Amino acid sequence: MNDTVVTVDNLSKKFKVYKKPRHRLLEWATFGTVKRHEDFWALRNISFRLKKGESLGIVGPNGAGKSTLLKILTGALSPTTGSCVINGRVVSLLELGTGFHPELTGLQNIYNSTSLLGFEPDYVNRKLDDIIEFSGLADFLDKPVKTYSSGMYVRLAFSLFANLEPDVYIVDEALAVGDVFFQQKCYSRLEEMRNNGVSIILVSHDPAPIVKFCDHAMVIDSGNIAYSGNPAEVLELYQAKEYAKKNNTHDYQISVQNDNLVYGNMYCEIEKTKLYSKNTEKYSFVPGEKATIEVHVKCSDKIAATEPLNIGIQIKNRFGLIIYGTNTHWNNIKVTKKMYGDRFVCSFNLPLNLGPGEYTITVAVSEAKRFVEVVHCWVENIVSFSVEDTGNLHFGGLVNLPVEIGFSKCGG
Amino acid sequence: MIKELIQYRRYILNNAIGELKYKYAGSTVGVFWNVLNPFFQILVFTFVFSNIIMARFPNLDSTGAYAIYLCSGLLSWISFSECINRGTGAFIENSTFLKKLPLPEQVFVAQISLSALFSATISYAVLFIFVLVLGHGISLTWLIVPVCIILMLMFGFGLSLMLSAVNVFFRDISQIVSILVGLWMWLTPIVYTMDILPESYRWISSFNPAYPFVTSLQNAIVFHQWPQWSHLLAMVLIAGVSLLLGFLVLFALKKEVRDNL
Repeated sequence: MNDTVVTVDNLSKKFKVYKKPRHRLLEWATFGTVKRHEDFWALRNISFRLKKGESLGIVGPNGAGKSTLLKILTGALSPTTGSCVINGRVVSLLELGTGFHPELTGLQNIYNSTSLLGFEPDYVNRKLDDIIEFSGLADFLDKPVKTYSSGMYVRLAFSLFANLEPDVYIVDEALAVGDVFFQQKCYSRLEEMRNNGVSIILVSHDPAPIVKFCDHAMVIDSGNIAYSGNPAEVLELYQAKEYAKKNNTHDYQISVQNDNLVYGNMYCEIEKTKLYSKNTEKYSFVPGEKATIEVHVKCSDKIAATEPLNIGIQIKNRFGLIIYGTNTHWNNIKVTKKMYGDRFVCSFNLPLNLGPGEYTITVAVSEAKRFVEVVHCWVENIVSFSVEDTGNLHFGGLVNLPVEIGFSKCGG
Repeated sequence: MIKELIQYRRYILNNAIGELKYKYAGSTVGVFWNVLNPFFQILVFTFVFSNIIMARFPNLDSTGAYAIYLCSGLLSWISFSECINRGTGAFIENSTFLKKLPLPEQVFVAQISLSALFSATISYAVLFIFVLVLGHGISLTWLIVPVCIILMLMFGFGLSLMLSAVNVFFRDISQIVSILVGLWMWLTPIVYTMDILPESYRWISSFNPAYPFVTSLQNAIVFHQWPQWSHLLAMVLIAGVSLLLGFLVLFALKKEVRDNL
């Protein structure tokens, strides 16, 4: 048995763009001897494979060709050249609720939209209890869906799709609606499905779910696969490129040094970052231990003397999720030229109130006022450290928050 | 392409019935408007033409004969024109589905044609009751009526397939079609009879593809005559050729239709 579910080979998609409808008429009338259209390549030479039970994250700016790719995967559009072969059934959350008829009841809509997707009523009968149970809408199923709130609508739609058990499941931003409990339910359901061998393609602008959820990620830009690989790395690179795009007036550089992504205009340079506890350099801590993060910076004379600097840090967990971040600007510290000179060390003292695990630190130096736009130097994951499990933790979760527990007797 | 229609038959049927059901959703009597509408239409025609205008056929002396003649042609035309007018816009109307789902395009045209067939069936059922009540008399020739209606709407289905595909690229088509269909009705002897046309104009009907359908219906219902063999053959040919052309045009334009929705 071949366990490759999705095989996309050299797939390209061309759209004919006519400036005016009559240009098409002219082409038709002359049997194509007169050309009046321009070719627009929405996708070019896309190739990837997805195995059973794998999940792939796709990110990319608007208009990059993500939706076109999804439409080809679901079969709504056909590729111009190349091939897209899917072994099994595809269900896409793009279709979330599109098959719903407002006048039909919830139950009728379940049957109607599954017949749209090509599922037999017998199949739905077997799944019906699960669908109703998952949606939590048992009391509303005999009401027309036009009376549903938009949250209920999404609930019904997702419950339907979540219980169909396709071979490939395509999820896009549609999940951003609905309340937080339902969203959590959706994601755990997706995880369950993936463990059952369903392949998942997740498309999102939000890096967090992709980093957390996917085995691979790829960035599509102007119809090409810009890069693909490990989700955390791919997304860091993607975000760096996006920064660079916003600042096309500055000479941005993006490079990889010692496996770390470095970008910015390089007006200054982060030489190293060290971690200390009680004046000894160390990279392994216990929860709650006081630590010092030292950022060593070298400045060039390109930095305008008048502009104060902003130095920031981010702590990420092993999934690439930002646990904590701060910077000098938010702490109202004005880092002026007088303070820093050519070389300086900026240290952040903080208790590592973190749960056990591996962490990385990302550091950046930017302009204080425009710290998002003008990045001098940003180094992803410059250093890593671990927080050890001491065996007598008194908290659970990602972080330890200062807690005070009170008691008071009620009634009686 | 026909295979796909069979594959999605359940969906097409459900939606065609759904259209009749929900067309009048929210009104008090709901579904019954499907019957009440043709009922009142026929009632008004009968009243106006037999009591006010006193239209009489020279060779037929029954009360309401003209009204029956009018209805037997007009009711089929109402469904036929609805089939074409709505069918032309089918892809645009259902673009949300076509953009996202791998559904075969012809499903949406088929669903409109089928719902037109249903409403025609209801209209003619109501008309038959009227004819009986008016005492015009029953005839075996009525058995040909469903055949004519089905062939006429197959003709409409084929036309809609062509027009709906082209309409995606040139959206003015749907407007032009509705004007032309209105004009076409007056070129067809529905409101008037062939007899009142001057000899020199009668040739038009032999080029009018709708003529054999309408005239066969009128002959069967009003004059209790079986259709002429030539008309029967013409109906089958016209329906067949239009379906064939419809599927060919759609097949040729299929991919581009999707890209342009």
